[in-house]
Amino acid sequence: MKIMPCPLNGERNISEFAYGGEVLDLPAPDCDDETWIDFVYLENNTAGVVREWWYHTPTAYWFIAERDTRTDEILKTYPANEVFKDRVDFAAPEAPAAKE
Amino acid sequence: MPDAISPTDLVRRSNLYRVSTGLGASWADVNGFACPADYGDAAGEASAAAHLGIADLTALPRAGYKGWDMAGWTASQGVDLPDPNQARPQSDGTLACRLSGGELLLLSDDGAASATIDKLADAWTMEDAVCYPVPRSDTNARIAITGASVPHMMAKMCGIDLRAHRFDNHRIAQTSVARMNAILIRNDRGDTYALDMVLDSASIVYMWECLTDAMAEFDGRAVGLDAVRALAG
Repeated sequence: MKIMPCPLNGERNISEFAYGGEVLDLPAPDCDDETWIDFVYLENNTAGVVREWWYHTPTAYWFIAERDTRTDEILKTYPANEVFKDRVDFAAPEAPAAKE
Repeated sequence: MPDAISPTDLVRRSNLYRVSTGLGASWADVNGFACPADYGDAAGEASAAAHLGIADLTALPRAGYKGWDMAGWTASQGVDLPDPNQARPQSDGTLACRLSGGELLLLSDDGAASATIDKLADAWTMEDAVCYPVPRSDTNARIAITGASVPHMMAKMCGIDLRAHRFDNHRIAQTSVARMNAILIRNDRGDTYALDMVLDSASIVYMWECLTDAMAEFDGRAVGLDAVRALAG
């Protein structure tokens, strides 16, 4: 049985968790399509230490885990607010011009 | 003697009510919610509750609040908050169960009223909300699992070590029980070890069957609200 140390609930069976993908920096909202495609669909597939989103299903709790993909060893887990400290606001899109 | 209450006479009832009726339940009216008061064997239920009993307490009041400043708002309303994954009884007997930094679950004691739940429900408004209500009363069921044999039985269904010396009173485990998500709160009644399990209301029949199957080897049985109340004295 593989054990995941959850920052909220302590050590739990890995079957209580779901994987949520790599932790990535959000691209600028006006970036080109290729950058968005890379962000949304493409995995870096790094051999080494990666930062990943994990989710504890019974508590609906998202957190970040650092894992070595070569050994599948979980090195460290911590709450997401240690990384994401500030609220991200987006400017509202400009209203379409009224038809004449 | 008043006429016997039928669960279908009342506005609300647990999704387990057909099973409870089949077990011979007599019903109590808890704020318009039908609750199995006993199963016709007061002495047997009292001794089972001390040894191993399960009771459907879905009828008792519950509430939840979640959001970025849940802690600030509930504290301003007089709730004495514990740390995450801990529970703390309030002065009116309501158990404040902190599920995370920003989420609170409130369970009434085995009486039918909770001043804390009523007070928060009256105080919360959409306009100045820093947290939002979670409809625990509608979406969750509550089962009390009481008696000295509970940790042994639960070891068959759950990966957490719930033995009394490892899982203190008022600790919370949010985990998987019989492959379903559930919140387990140790909430002793008097000197008797007890867990309150809060789970999805639509799955209570499944969970009840799993518990019934697991407790057969320990001679456990269904007990009514009266037997659980009697434990607390």
